[in-house]
Amino acid sequence: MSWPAGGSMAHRALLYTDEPEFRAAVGAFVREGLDRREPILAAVPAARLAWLRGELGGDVPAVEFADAASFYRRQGQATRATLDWLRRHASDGQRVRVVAEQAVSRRTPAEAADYLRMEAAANVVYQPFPVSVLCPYDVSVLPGGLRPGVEQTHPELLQGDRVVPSAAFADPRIFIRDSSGVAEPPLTSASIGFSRREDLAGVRRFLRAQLAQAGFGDEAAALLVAAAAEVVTNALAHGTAPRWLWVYTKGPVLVCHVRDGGPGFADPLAAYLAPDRHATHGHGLWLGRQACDCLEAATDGTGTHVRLLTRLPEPGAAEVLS
Amino acid sequence: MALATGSRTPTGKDRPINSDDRASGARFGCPPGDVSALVPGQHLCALYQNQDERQRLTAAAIRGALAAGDRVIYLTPGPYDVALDLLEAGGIETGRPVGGGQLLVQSFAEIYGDLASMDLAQLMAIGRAALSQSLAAGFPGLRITGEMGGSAWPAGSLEGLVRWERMVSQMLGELGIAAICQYDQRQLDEPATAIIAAEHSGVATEGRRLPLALFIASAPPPALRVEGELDLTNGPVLARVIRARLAASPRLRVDFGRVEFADVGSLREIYQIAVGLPAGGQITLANVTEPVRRVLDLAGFRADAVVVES
Repeated sequence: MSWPAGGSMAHRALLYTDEPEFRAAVGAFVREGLDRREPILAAVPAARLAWLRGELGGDVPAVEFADAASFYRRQGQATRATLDWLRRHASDGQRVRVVAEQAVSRRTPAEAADYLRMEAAANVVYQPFPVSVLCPYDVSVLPGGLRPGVEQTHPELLQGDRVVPSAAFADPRIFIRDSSGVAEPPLTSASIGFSRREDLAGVRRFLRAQLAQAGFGDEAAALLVAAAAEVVTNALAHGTAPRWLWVYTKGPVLVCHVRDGGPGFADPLAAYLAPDRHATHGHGLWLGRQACDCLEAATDGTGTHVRLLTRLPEPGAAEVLS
Repeated sequence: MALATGSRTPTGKDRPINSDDRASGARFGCPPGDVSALVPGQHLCALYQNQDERQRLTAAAIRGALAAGDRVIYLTPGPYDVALDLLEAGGIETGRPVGGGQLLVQSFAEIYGDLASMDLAQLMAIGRAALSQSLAAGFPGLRITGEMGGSAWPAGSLEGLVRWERMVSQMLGELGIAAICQYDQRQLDEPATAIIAAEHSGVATEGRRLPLALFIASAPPPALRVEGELDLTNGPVLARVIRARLAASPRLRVDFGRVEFADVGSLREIYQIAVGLPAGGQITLANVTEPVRRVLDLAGFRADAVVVES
């Protein structure tokens, strides 16, 4: 197995079933990077960090280890953290390597689906960087429905020592569009309509009251209000009537659902792209993705829907902000 | 002496003119004008029936100026401490805007001299000087709130007053200064009220809601303090105020300590203005609260010319 020494991004999935398979493939990937003096980021679950350290004989200065549980706590923050790392290490043409694994089986279905959309977006978002990305997936626990998505979002698959093109690989924009469905809010949801800029202050009051009722502390609530307010502001600025916001809980998750009657985002990737420093728009959705656990954007016959999903605070737990 | 075309004692049938803002303007053929949402050049008349209405209208006029970041000249017969007490009682914290040169309390005589002998050229010169001083001090605009009641006809007679208000309308319109002339309606009879109202572009109403944010000039100039919430409704006002203050000095300190909410668009305005500053120009956001700092961070704004202090 060999990874490109130059050129643009390489993005491969490793579908493994046990520890020896993981250690062999990921160990070889990291050792090749060390031989080439490429900076390496390994953001994988704690148990896999232990496997990797075992394989490498302990910590290696050239490898930055990150526990996926915090690195990926919010899907949008993982993109941000990876981009920040790439800007630090790969912006002068230096080739770098990333091992990225998330414990997908422990995610809610919505979060797992969002992770795959991020994998699709990664093909575009990280394209400017000379980076080799290896994404291990533990198929012994991978929910069956997700495997086709892994093959659709990675241009190449790693099988033992061999690299094979993924026959199912899909255009990232088409994958994101096709995997973004609309979930209607329950009829009993708290809701508020809005049509004018002057309604924004009332929408924020509504959100604060709903979040307090759901048990969010002041700081966590302030961040979610900011995120939801951006989506509401987008609906006012770019969408059409009727514009509506619902807030409800579903199991362990709080949902803020914003709908407007417009055709939605011209680019399905809009919610996944980081605005550059001269951008005049896009910051709101970018904030929204990072401030909640996952963000879904979809269009159907009735308009555009954006849903911000956030796990409810544990009862009695101290407020944690990551 | 009562300000009336004939002698008249207020009766119980008098309607409180500002309790029904739709009716008040229509009653005198004038559209209602929200004192908290003045536009440049607008010349409103405000009619009050009692001390409470006077206090609320005056406070609303000053609050509207602070919500626009404009300088406001409060013309009052004095004494000043009584005038400031009136504003404080109406909910305006006067210390900062007075200290920052945003709220000026003056008498008619100080600004205009003798109203009866003034001509248009003199009035235009006075208005032009006041406006250019305001812009030079870093304010985007100038407003005047004047107490016309409580004394004899300020211009000698009703005819003199009409002539005066006409000159003022022309001066305000040409220079883009907004003004509110407050009259004690208890001292006017209905025909005089109608004549005076007709010389204004509208009859003032108090406004239905408090402004979302105030933009207060604080000392030392050109510091700026923002209080309240920033969103799509007042983000453009923030940009206008910051640009005006940067025109007076390319290094600006904005106190964000009382900003309870700021949307991404408002914050983006600040960064975009900062990017266009000449070399050495800088905007410092001071006392930034944790929620606003997190929005700044997560939205990904970065600019060399913006310094964020917690």
